[in-house]
Amino acid sequence: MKITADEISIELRKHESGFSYIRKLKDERVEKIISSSEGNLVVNPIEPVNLPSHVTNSLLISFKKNVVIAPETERTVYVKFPVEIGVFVSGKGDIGLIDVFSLAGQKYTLYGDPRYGVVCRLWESDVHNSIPETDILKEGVMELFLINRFDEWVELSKCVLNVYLMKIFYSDSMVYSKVKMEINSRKTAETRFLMEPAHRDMKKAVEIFTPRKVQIAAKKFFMEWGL
Amino acid sequence: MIDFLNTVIYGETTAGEIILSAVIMMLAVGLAKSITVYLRRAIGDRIEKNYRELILKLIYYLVVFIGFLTILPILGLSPSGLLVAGGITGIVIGFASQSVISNLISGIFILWEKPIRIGDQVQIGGISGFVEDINVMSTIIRTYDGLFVRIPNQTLFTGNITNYTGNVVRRFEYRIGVRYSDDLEEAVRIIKRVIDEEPFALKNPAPAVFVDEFGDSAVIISVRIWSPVQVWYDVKMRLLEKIKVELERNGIEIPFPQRVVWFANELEFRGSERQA
Repeated sequence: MKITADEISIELRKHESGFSYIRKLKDERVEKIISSSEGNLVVNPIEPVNLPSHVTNSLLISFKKNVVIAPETERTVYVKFPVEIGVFVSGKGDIGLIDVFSLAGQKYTLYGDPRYGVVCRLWESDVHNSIPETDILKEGVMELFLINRFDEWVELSKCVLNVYLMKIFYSDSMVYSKVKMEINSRKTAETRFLMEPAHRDMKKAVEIFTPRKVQIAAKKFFMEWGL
Repeated sequence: MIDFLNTVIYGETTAGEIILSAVIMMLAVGLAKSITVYLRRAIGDRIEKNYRELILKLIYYLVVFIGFLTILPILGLSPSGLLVAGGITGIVIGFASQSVISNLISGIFILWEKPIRIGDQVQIGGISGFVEDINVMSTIIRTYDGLFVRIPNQTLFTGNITNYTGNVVRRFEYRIGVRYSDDLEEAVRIIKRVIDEEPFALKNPAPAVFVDEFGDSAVIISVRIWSPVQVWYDVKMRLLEKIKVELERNGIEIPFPQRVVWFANELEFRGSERQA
C-alpha cells in the first residue's frame, strides 16, 4: 500500500512477520518495522509541538495585524495554525505513535521572561473574519472566540495555547480547532480549546496528549505576560 | 539450637528475639524496596522525576521506620524510654557528629528550596555535570565525562551553585572573524538568515548579530542567540558549523592570524636573487 500527497509518500510493505513502514518527505526518509500481522494505521493531524523535537506544550499564534476589541464584547475571528501529521498504529486496545512529519516550517519563541516564561512553538498568521483557504497538509484553521470581559478596549497581538487537551478535527478540505479566549485585563487572558467541530461530518483526530497519558493536565493557559 | 535461641543476651531479651528482630528489619527493608520499585514503575513519567524520587524516598524511610518501631518491644525497648535516652545521648552524638547533622539539615533545606533538580546540568565547586540524585546527606553528580561525584549537602548548600538548566531558555555566543576585505553587511545578513532557519534559535528574545571589534587579523562579528535549555548545546554546535559553511559558500572567509611588517630601509637581496 502506498499513499502519496505533495512531497509526502507513505508506504507499507508486507513481510512474513509484519510490515515495513516507509515514509519519505523531501530528502528525509524514515523506515520502521511493525512487528504485527494485524492492526490499523491511522494518519491524522496532531498537536503541532513535536518537531524537530518536543521541548514544549505551548503554541503561540502571532497575529500579523493586531486586533482591537471593544469593552465587554464577544467576537469570532479565524487564524491559521501549523499542521503536524502523526502516524499511529492501533490494535489490541492501544494506539501508539510511530512517526511525525510536517510540511510547515518550525520556529520557537519565548513568551514571558527567561526565568518563568514559556517556550512556545511560533506561528505567524493573518487574522480573518471568515474561514480562510488553507493548504490542508500545512495549515489548519483556528476559530478564535474572543470574549472581552474587561471594561476597556484591548489590543491583541498574540494568542498562547496549551496544546494539552487540544481538540483537532479534520475533513478532506480542512483541519480545524476552536479556542475560547477570555480577556480579563489589558495584559491578561485565559485560553482553552473547545470540543466543537466546524461541521458535523468532520472527524476527530487522535491526539498524542490524551488525558489518559497526561494525568495532571492544565485545561487552560493563563496569558500573564501580555497580549 | 533451641537452647541457643533461649539464651538471654541482655535483660529479658533472648538470642531468638534478636534474630527475629533482625529478620523483621530485613523484611521491612525488602518490603520498602519492593514498594518503591513497584511505585516507580506505576508512576512512570507522570510525575516529574525530582518529585517522584522524593516521594519514593519518603515512602521507603516510612516503611523502614515502621519496621523499626515494630522490633522495639521485641527487643524489650519502649519507644518512650528510647526518646528519653535519645535526649541524653542525642547531645553527645550531636557533638560527635556535627558534620553528619549539618549535611542532614542542609539536605532538608536543599529539598525544600530546590536550587537544583534531578536531571539539571550544574556546576558546584568546580564540578560540572548532571544531577543524578539528591539524597538527605549528599548529592550525586555525573560529570560530563561520566564520573560519579558525591558532594556532601553542606558543601552544596554553602557553596555557589550554577544551574545551567534553571531557566527555561539560555543564551550562547559566537565570535566570528571575517577578513577586512569582506562585505560586512553581507556577512551579517548571511548569519541572520542561518539563524532564522534554525527552529530552536528563538525569535524572542531576538538574536543579536553585530560587528563587535576590529581585531588584529579579522573583523569580529558577535552572534548572540537564545535557545531552549533542553537543546541549547545541540543548537550551538549545529549552528556554528552551518554559519561557517554558509559564509564560505558566499566567498566570506575566516582569516588566519596575520601581521603586516614594514621595514624602515629597503630590503637588500643577496646571492643569486640579486644577480638575477
